[in-house]
Amino acid sequence: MAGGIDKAYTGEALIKSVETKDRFGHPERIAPYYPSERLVESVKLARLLRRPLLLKGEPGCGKTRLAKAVAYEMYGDDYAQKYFEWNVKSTTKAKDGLYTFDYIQRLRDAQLEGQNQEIEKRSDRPENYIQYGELGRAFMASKEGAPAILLIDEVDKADIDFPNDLLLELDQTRFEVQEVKKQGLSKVITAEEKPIIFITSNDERELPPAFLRRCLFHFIDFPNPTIMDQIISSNFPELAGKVREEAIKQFYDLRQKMQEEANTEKKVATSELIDWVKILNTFDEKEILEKLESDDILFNQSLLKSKTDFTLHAKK
Amino acid sequence: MTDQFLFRFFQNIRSALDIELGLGEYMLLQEAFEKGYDPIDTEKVYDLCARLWLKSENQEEAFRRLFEKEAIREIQLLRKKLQHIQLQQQRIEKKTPENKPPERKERPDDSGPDTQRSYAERLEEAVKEEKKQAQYVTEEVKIQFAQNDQLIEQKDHKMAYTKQFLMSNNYHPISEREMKQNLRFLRNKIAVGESQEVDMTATIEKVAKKAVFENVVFQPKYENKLQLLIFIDIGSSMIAFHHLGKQLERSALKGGGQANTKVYFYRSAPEDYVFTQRDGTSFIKFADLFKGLNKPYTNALFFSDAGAATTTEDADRTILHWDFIEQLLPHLSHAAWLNPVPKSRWIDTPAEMLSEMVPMFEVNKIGFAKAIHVLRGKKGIE
Repeated sequence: MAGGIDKAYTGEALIKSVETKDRFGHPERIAPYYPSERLVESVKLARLLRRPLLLKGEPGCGKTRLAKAVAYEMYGDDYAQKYFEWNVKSTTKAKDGLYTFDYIQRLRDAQLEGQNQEIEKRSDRPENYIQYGELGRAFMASKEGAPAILLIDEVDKADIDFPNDLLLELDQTRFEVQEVKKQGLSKVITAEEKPIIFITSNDERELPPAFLRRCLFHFIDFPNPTIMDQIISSNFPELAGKVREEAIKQFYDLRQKMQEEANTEKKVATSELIDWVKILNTFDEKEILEKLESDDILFNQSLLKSKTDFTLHAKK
Repeated sequence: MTDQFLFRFFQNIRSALDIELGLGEYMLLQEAFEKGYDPIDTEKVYDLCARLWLKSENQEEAFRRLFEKEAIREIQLLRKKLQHIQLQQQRIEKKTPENKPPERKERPDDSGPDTQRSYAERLEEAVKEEKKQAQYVTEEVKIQFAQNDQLIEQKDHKMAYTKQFLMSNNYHPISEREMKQNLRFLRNKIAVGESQEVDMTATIEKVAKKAVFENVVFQPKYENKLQLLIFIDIGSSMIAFHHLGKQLERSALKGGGQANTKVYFYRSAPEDYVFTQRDGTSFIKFADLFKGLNKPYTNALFFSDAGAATTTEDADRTILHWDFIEQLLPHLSHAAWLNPVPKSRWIDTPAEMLSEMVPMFEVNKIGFAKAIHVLRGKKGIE
C-alpha cells in the first residue's frame, strides 16, 4: 500500500477534486480541500504526538472533511481501507464504536440448537455474533507504519458521559470483547499502531475536562475570500470568473452584515454558498450578472434559512 | 537544557485558565521539542503551546496575555544562551580548524528543524562545549551577539503588542466550567415506558424461569424530568454582576446536563410578572408561569443581591420580593438563592430576612456547590 506514516501531510493532494472508490468499491468523488498552514501544522503535531485532534469551528469551515483529506493524501486511492468515520448520534454509546454483540440472535440460536446443523455450528462460536464498530475496525486496520485514520464526528451530540467512556480505549488503543472468552480471559483487540484520530465538536455541550486534556485543540477559522475563491473555482471549473467574483463578494458582504446584526439566526457558510452558486451556474453569464445587480439577494432560499434572517437580510 | 522550560508558564496557565492539565500534557511539549520543534521561535512555540494546552477558542485571549507576560522572556533567555554558544563555537572553529570535530561540518543552519539530532541533544552538547571553551569569548563576538539580540527583541516586541485588550471575564469567583460541572448533578431520571434496549439479565432470567425463550425484556427508558427555573435579577443594584449572571444563564442553558431549564429575569423585585428575555421585551405573568409547573420535579435558583448591594433599604421592594417568593415556593420542590454579595454584607438588609425563606449562598465555588446540593434535596449542610 502506498503512503503510510512517513508521508507528511501537506494539504496538496486535494487541490482538485478526485475520482476514487469508497469502502464498498462504489465510485466516489472527493471535493477539493484547502487547509490553512496552521491546520497542516496541527495535523503534523497530532501525528507526531499521537494525540487525537479536536476540531472546532463554525459549520461549513471544513471540520469533518479534514480527516478524509488526510486519509486520501496518505493512502491515495486505497484510502477507504484505512479511513473510518464514526458519526455520533444522541443515542450513541461508547461501546457501540468498539463492537456490538447480537444477544438476541445468540439466544434464539441457543434455543434452536440441535434442530439445525448450521445453527449449531454458529452458536458454538460467540465470535460469530460480534459486529465491530468504526472505532474497533480502525484499531484492527491500523498496522505498523500505516495507521488508520478515524473521524469521530460531532462528539458533543451524545450523552455527557460519552467522551469519558472512550478515554481508556483511546489511551491504550485496545479493548476487550467480554463476550468472547478463551481460558477465562476476554478476547483483546489491540491496534498495532495508534490510529490518527480527528474529533469534531459543534460546541453544543461542553466536553468533560478529562477528555479535553488528552486532545490537541484546533479552531478552524472560516475560509477567507481567497481560499473561498479556490473552493468555488474547483467545485465549478466551468463557471465564468466574473460571476464567481461577484457571487463571492455578495456572499462575504452578506456574512459581514449577518455578523454585525445581533439577531441573525444562522450565518451563511460554505455549503450555502456552494448551493447558491449551483443555482447561479444554471444561467447564462450575461443574464446572471445582470440579475445579480438587483437590490434583493438573488435566490435567497439557499442562503437565508429562517424568517428572521429573511426579514433582516433579504435586501442587500 | 530544555528541562523545565516553560514549566512555570504551564502551571500558571493551568491555574489561571482553570484547564485540567496534567504533567503528561507538559511532557508533550518536551516531546515535541525532542521531535524537532524549534524552542526558540516565539511564534512557533506560541502555536505549539496553544494547540497542546488550549481547549477552547474562548481561552485564547487570556492565554496570549500570559504567554506574553511569562513565556516570551523565557524563550528569549534560551535563545540568548543558544546563540551565545553558537557564536562561541563559530569563533572557536575559525581559530582552531584542526580541532574541529567532523560532525560540525554537517550541522544544518537554523532555518529548519534538525532531523538527525534533536534540539535537546544539540543544546546539551553545546553547553558542554561552552564550559570547555569559555575563555575564547572576544569583543567581536560580544558585539555580534548584541546586534542579534536587538533584532529579535524587536520581533518579540511586535508580537507582544499585536493584541492589547483583554476581553475576558475570567475574574469571577466561579468559572463557567465549574458552574456547568455543578449543574450536571441536577438530574432526576424517571422511567417512562420502554426503550429499544434489551435488558439481558432480565431476559435470561425469564428464559431460565420458563425454560423457553418467549420474548425479550426491554429496559425501561429514562427521562430527565427535572425542571430548573432560574430567576436572574437585572435591576440596577445588579449591574456589577451582569456578566456573572450571563455566565450562570449560559452554563444552565448550554451545560448539557439539563433538559428543561428556563431563565427568567426581573428588575429588583418582581410584581406580578417576570421577563422571559433579558432585555425585557417579553414577559410571563405569575399565574401563567405557575400553571406550567409540576411540583415534584421543579427547582428554582435565584440570582440576586436581595437588597444587600444597596445601602438604602426599600421596604416596598422587600415586600414585593417576599411576596413573589411566597407565591412561588408552594410550586417548587426545592429552591436555593445565589447572592453575589458577600455574606458579611447581608446583615441588616432584606437579604438577611429572605435568606430565612430560601437557603442563600454566596456566589463562589463552595456556595454554588452548596446551592446545587440543596436543589438536589439534601439539606442540613450548613
